[in-house]
Amino acid sequence: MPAKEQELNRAIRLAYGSAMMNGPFAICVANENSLVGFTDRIKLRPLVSAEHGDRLYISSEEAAIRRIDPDIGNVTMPKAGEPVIGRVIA
Amino acid sequence: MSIGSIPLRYKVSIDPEQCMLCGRCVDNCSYGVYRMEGDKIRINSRNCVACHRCTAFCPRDAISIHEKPTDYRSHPVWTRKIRENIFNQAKTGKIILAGMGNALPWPMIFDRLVLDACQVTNPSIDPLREPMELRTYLGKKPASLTLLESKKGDVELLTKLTPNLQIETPIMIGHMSYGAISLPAQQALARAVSRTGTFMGTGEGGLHESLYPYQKNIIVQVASGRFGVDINYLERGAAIEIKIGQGAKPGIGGHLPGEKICADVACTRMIPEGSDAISPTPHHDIYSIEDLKQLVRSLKEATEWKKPVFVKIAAVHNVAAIAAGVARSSADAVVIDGFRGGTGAAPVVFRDHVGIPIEAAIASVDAKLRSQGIRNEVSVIASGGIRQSADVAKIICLGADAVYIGTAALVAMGCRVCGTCNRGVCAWGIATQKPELTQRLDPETNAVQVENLIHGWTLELAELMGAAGINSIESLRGNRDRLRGYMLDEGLLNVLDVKTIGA
Repeated sequence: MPAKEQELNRAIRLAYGSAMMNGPFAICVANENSLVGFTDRIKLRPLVSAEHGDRLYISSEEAAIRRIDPDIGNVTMPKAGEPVIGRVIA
Repeated sequence: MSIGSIPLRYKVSIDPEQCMLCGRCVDNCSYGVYRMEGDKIRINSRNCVACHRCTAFCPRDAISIHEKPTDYRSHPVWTRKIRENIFNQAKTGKIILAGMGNALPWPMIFDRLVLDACQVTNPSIDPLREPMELRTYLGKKPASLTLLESKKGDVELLTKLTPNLQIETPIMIGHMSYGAISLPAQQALARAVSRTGTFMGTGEGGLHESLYPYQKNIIVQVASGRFGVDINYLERGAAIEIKIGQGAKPGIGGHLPGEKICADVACTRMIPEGSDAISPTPHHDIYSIEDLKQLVRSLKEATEWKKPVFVKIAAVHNVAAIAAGVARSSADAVVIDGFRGGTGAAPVVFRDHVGIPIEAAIASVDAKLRSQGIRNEVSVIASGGIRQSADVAKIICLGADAVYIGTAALVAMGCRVCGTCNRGVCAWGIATQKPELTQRLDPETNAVQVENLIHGWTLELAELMGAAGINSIESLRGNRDRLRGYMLDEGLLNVLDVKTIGA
């Protein structure tokens, strides 16, 4: 990791380390113009996502997405802790 | 009528069937228990302190040591110790001194706290498969970060960070001075901490030249006697620690007798050879938090604001309020030393009766700092009575960032906790300055033993965290939900902010 990025990461850890969420979870939060999904840092709970046109799906099971949208292409598995972010662009 | 001899503390015997008259016991005992008379080994049990040096080196396991061979009339109030202290003072009229830590059987809070583990709903984590983050930073943390995002999307950090110590395991070795312990003992500790990515303290004894190669892992102490302090010393340390008080003897200073001040100790402490090294009870320039702030900032100024400054206080009744004051003195960490902390020599009345246990002290300090919104201003280091990795996990759950160990590290070097450090004739070569005794301690062998101990505890800590479903030490810190009190009273549960078992 480049030194500058390392320092930024260390600073985030120093300042906000005790606010870190630890333990198993997969969270999906949405409001009228965005949708965010992420899991705990070692992905003890499942999370998959898929895109179809202007639709973004986030689910704990691939089967759920395929049930709603049978024509879906790739269903991807985000890395542990990596957020999936969707925005509505007017 | 004179008091006469008091009963023996230990009875030493040698099994003549096993003994081969090799004389190793005679050579090894520095307390004068054994002497060779013709083809017989004579024993003077009265001199024995149960340091086990003789049994450790007897090739035939021929020696046995029994405690208290003669009973007093048993009495719940007038215990053996109480009576013997009175005999001692009736003879001498003096303050009774002893080494090591608190020797009264106070209830051990650590042993009334149980840790948590995951089952089914919350999976445990295997540290052999998943990364376990034990790295800890000691020092001030920013309350928040200010970031600037450029048009290209690069993020720049605008907040200036203050220097922190980075430790790879939350276990450090506390301050034991050259003088209180021998140079080979300090060298062994220095090698061990430099190899395990952690730190040790110099105590108030200066920094011997032979420790310079390990200075990156050494915290230098400034105490009330200012022994060994000059700019070279301050600049060599990775951090500076101001010692206000010590858990073994809160409220009083230190006294290293002249007999222990050999030429080398004198040179390192910058005092005349053979003179008593007396650390005054208070720092004569510190009578308030404002005064403390001046010393903290002077030390920072002297070292160009490149080093964290710690302040160590003994755990006493109002420790939380005092720590909150220290947090406002520009100090980067506050060390809380509990009443079980060891020492080379302390008045028994202080060692056994003054101060409070580290568990209650850390819990109340952490709660106070959080309630005032200044927990990020200082790191909290717990010391005094940390005996095993479970204690480390428990005290971190109660709010500590890291621990100092002292006695445990000495035990890893052979110390048998005989409590006779104050005599200066430690048969293990640890708490002595006599060359014929200090040469018994090989720095390399002992460094490996101390390193093994730190490594073993660190592995156990990682396992305990994994079992609790936690993979970073920050998530354990102050996490009282991972503790339950077993047979602790309600008042203490409230102070610890811990629920009872079953709740």
